[in-house]
Amino acid sequence: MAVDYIALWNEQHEAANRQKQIWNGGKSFWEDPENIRRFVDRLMGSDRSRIEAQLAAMQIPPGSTVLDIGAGPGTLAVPLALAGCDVTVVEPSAGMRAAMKEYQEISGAPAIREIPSRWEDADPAEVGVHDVVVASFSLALDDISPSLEKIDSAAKRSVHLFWFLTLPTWTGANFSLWPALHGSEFAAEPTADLLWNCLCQLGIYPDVTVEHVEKGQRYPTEEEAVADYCRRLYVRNDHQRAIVASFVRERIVRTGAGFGIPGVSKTAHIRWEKFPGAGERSGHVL
Amino acid sequence: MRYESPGASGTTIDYARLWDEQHARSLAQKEKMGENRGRFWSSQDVVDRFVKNVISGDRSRIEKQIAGMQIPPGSSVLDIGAGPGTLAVPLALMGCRVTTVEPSAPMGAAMEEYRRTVNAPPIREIRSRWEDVSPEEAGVHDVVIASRSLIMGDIRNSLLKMDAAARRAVHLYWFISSPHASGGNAELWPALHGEPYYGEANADVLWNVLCQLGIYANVKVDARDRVRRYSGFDEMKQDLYNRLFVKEDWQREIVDVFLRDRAVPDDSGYVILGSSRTAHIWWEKDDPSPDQSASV
Repeated sequence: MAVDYIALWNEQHEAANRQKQIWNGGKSFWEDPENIRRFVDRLMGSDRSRIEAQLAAMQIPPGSTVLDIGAGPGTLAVPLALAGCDVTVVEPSAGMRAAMKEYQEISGAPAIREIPSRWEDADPAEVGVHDVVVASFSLALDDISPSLEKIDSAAKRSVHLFWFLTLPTWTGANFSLWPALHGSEFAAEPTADLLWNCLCQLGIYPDVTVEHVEKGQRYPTEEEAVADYCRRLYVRNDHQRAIVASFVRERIVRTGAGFGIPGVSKTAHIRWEKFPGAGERSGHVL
Repeated sequence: MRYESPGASGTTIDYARLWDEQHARSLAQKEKMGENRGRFWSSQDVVDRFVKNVISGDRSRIEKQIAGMQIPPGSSVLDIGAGPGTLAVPLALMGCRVTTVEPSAPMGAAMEEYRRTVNAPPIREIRSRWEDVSPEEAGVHDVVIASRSLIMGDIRNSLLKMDAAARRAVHLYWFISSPHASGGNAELWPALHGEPYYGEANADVLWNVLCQLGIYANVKVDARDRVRRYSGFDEMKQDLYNRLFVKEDWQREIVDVFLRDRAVPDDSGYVILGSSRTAHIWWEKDDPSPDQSASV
């Protein structure tokens, strides 16, 4: 097969990364305490059904050791620890780790081991081997081939990856407005179809379950929606703000719980089981 | 260049073209060897072996396959490339109203015999290649199935026609690491015919074609450690000679050596060892279950 999916992923991810870094002034989005606070507020205030659906779909038996890569504020890690799993997280952002600590204490969950590192930089010896490895919406990884192989080797029983199969609704604004705001095309992260192709290329043939996401982000007021879109689109002046505001006002609708821009997107739950002797996987053969 | 799916990676790969090109190359190679338009599937020996496998072979695999589709009794089902009724007859027995699309007349006759033997209700038959069936002729069914029968050109229209013929769900089964890779073809073809073996595109390409068409399908991969099973050594040899277009004694010798190495006896015959994976690719139409709106 002539297509090198791994190279395609790396190319697209690097382009997205470059663009994000320019507009974040070279810093990661998750180093900004404001972004973390909003993310955590949303987690606490949001409808839990999606997290519960994710936990149910993974069917992780209590007592399992679980490695959660890019755990954020403990969205899955804390409920898993509460359910009796022995959880280790890999999370580079100090703010996220502090938020998780708080969430864990409030909910009375057992202690969670922390590896303060990006996955790419984590030392396999320090990471260890776990029954189950999870990476939920945290797959914007550099150099995807070794990153995925490291995920596979850290798992004894199974791996669960969650990622966008179509881009989430809010990125529609990025595609539409980025050229007018910043004079270039928006560079999106590669989606789950390419991720699955990369895994096949590595000789791992995972299952895929497609989930439908029918609700976009909810906001208490129209103004907050405009403010959030302005942040996501790195708006710096009034001219840009006017462009974003008119985009949002044209699309926003009132819903039971506030305001939102309707849209449908899909996410993929990509999973594979480890089998004894599965180590001798050969590459893609045709 | 972007395709129908607005959100997918936006890579510039045209998977449908990739599929069609690989299919054309595979077809041209077989035609050069004297195979044309389904002669292989219409040969009585091949049909007989298929029927024997269906009736006396490993039932658990078929049962598992049917259970995996969760088709409610009473559903109308369109089975594309139904062969000797491997799935169509058990589905009819379960109370489904089944229509098959199958170009091979001997396969159709074999299905009819199988159906009568087990006393299943009548099955409507369309004696045609799927590519040649009109949407009116195909009709609309609750469920559309194409099990290991995706040797099709113009994959884009072939798949869109399947999607249009389904009211509730479509189930496809296709090889994700080709059995040809380890079942002899890829290994033996160069030695037998002096060129690489050109197989059909795999299920990974198929899934990407679907994404390209805006159809986001689920995938379940079933891994097996054997490729094909036969009731006797001679039958196995003849089948490989046939599949590999072997005509000369020196070629037979190459196949025999391969089989002595890779075929092992089991309780009722022989199996060729090797890894083989099949992907079950399925999607539901219009996400009919209301509870799915709950997931954010």
